[in-house]
Amino acid sequence: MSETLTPAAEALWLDSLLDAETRSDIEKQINGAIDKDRTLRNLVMTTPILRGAINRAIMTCLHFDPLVLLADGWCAARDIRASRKAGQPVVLKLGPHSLSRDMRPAVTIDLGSEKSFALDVALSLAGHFEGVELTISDSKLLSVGSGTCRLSLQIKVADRTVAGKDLKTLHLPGEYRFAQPIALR
Amino acid sequence: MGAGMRAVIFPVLCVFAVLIAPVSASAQKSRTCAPSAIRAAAAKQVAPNLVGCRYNEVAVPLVRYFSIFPVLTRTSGDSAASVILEQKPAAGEPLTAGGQLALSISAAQPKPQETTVVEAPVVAPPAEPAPLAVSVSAAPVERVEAPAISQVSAKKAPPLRLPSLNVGVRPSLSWVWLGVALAGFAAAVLVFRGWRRRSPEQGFDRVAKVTARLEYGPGRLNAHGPLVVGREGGQ
Repeated sequence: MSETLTPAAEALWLDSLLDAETRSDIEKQINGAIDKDRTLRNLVMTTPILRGAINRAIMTCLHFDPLVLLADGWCAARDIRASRKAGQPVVLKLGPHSLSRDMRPAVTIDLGSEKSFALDVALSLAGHFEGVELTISDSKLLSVGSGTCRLSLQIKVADRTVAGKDLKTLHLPGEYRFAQPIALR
Repeated sequence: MGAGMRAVIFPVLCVFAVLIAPVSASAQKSRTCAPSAIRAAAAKQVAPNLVGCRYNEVAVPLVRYFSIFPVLTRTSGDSAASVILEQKPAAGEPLTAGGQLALSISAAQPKPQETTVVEAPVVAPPAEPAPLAVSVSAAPVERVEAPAISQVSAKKAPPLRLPSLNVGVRPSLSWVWLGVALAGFAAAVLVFRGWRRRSPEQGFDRVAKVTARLEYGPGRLNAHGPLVVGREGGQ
């Protein structure tokens, strides 16, 4: 497990945190999910190039900010929603907690007619936060900072974890501002 | 020599004559069919005696000295093939002007349905009753004049009938199959041309487009103690 300092001005992308081993594990499980789907398996057998194309398309989808993805847990938390008030921004200091969110890849293949396939594989991104602070303004989450975040990724097949990997431990700066304010729910 | 001797010699001579006659006849026939006899007849400007000769044997000298018009005539199955049956002019008669020699040649046949009768290129006036007329050229070697084929008449023979293949398919049915085959070929050509005209995006050789998306589940939060431990601002 390595540590990365995240400047506030730079974005954080999940795919940049994946090492070769994690990528290989993800592709392995994706290939297994492809072979489970009978129609998709036949398509890949007739057009072998599809297998690599599916893997590349899914890996491309992992190019997102993991903190934005996990912030959905903050936005839905009752204690945080209770702190929203109109007017000046509010800074909430949070105790140790963890957020997680599942992602299920689905592919659409256009071979004259589009066919969509939901792969039986799930990626669960989890973040363990300690000493972080949230800035809320006008019922919107503006930034997070001043703490550590340990990111981990789990690969699930049929709702069972088959592989897990600790990605990075992020030492968040004083303020990591989201690209777009996230509305509290 | 007494009467008894004559009584003995006469039957012996009769038997000898009976035995020798065919041999002498064949020898005479072979003499008449010889090229020398044909050459002699040509020198005399008379028709040679060709009846009974095999056409293959006399064809070479005949072609050399005469203008011949052979006519193949169907004969019974037991008749020898390629034997000259009749000739016109007859043997010893002077050659006619224009020099033509019409021959009637037998054409034996092993099976009735496979009989092949070939009519010579002769034009026979219907008024002439002579079945086989022979016109012998007076010129012995060189044939200057074009042969006129007007005096030769042949017995009316059935038309040429070539053996046909009996494959057991009706002619109309074969035409149907031929039409079906042509229609199928035309359809295949149209389909192929239509397939070639398709754009790469619409054809089978286009590049497959693969798009992927992530379906996100709800965020889960786990905290073992109080989540919010401090607050600043917003008072």
